[in-house]
Amino acid sequence: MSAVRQVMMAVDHTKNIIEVVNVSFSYGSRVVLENVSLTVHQGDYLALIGPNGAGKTTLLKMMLGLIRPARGNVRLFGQDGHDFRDYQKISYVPQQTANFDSNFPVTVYEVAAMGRYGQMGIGRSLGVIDKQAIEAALRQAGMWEKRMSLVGELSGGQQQRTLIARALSGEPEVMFLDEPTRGLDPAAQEELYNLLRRLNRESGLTLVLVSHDIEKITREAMHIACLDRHLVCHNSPAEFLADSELVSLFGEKIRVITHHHHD
Amino acid sequence: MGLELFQYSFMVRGLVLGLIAAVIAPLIGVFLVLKRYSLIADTLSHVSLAGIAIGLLFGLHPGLTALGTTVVTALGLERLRRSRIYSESALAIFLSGSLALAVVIFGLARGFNVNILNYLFGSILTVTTSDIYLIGALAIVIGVAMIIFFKELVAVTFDEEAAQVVGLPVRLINTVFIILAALTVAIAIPVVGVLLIAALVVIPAVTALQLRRNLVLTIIYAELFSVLSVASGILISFYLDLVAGGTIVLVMLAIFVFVSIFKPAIPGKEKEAGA
Repeated sequence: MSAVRQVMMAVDHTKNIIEVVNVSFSYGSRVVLENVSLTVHQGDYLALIGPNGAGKTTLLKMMLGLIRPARGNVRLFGQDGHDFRDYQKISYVPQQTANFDSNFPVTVYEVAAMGRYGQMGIGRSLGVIDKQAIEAALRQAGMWEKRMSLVGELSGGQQQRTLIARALSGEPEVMFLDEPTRGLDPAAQEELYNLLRRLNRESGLTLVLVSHDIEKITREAMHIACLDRHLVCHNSPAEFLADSELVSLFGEKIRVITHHHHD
Repeated sequence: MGLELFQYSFMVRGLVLGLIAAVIAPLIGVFLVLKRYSLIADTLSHVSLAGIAIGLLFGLHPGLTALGTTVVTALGLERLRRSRIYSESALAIFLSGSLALAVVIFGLARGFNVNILNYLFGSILTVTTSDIYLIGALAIVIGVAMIIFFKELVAVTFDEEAAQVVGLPVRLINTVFIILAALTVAIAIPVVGVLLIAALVVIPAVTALQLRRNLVLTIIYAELFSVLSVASGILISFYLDLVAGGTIVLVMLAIFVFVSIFKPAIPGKEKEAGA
């Protein structure tokens, strides 16, 4: 039933599957990341937090191989990020507002199916195994009943879960999410966090997500990485919360910025 | 009157050519609109005019030189877009630059023994049988390529980054698509002329997208609007002695307006706007 069943068998928390080593990156003269090193182990639930422009999304895209670091390197499952071709192991839920055209004429099912296209081969149509994986992904994301709806007819939370179904249908080992709760109402946020928790705890899916919601994410994630161009901390949520200086630094900063967003 | 137009073989050739273009254009057009590339169709059609001028200047087949310049420019535009220096103004520069080149060449060679208006506004009545073979072959290439790359093209158009993460060859797919768009422009030149190609490609697609159906249905509706417009446009122009290209586009616009006004009454699910 589970789209990520093969991972369930053996989650080895001592095994590092993502290694970011001394990476730096700048857009023109603006340095967004400087000497950041970070590891993600199998079964981890890592949240990247930090103020706007702190390089969170850049780091996420670097881990995905969408951006190449100017210096340093990223290793995924032991392979150099740029040579990484084991695409079915990774999946991506992009920031909805940036990547989503809600007028695009596709159904929920068609979007979920896209997660398998890379493995299927050009010119091939969906086979039995693909269809099973798509159904499992849609059911896990709670979108099976809505599979025939156009994405433009959905609420923000449902659209986000459709993108998660797309990421799940490829049966990945890691899922990268860029601010998945952004713009959702509290109930939809809660639902999304519950879904992510189940995927992580029950199915053993490794999660790396960018978040602004520090209060909530410290209760959900296993590890918190605070980013402000440099990696300021990489702790468990308890350690993070115990460090009042860190909380006031990041908590304050983030709260102010989040506030600006809603104004 | 009845079927008298079928007694003229030039009319039959014109209709056949028109229908080939009518079937191919929306297939590309729906994706151009969704990719927000509509202006690229317009740019490529002006580039094709420069290609025609070059062909006439050097005594080559103008259709083939148009095809060549359009494909090369399309590849250049795709490269510009990828390097992120692409912008609307880059397209405007290409568009006006190639138009300027075409005007200068046409001016240089007043002795071209051709009617330039045929290229500007279409020349469905002067189509030869060999034109039909060439264009038919191009149409088959476009159709087959679209079938092979369909699901990949949908995924890349919907979300390019996610498609890349899934492992799709995004660059290859975008390159194939832009070449197909260039070929489509070349097919459409004799039907509506350089100045109206963008209309032929874009209007049926935009009309069908208003109906808010899934992609396959959207393409089917676009095909219906396109074939209906081209066939009736040619017939109307024949009986009323009008220019075929312009008449076709006016029929397309009439359908667009009709659908815009009556879309709530068209059977199917009611859709609330936006999300």
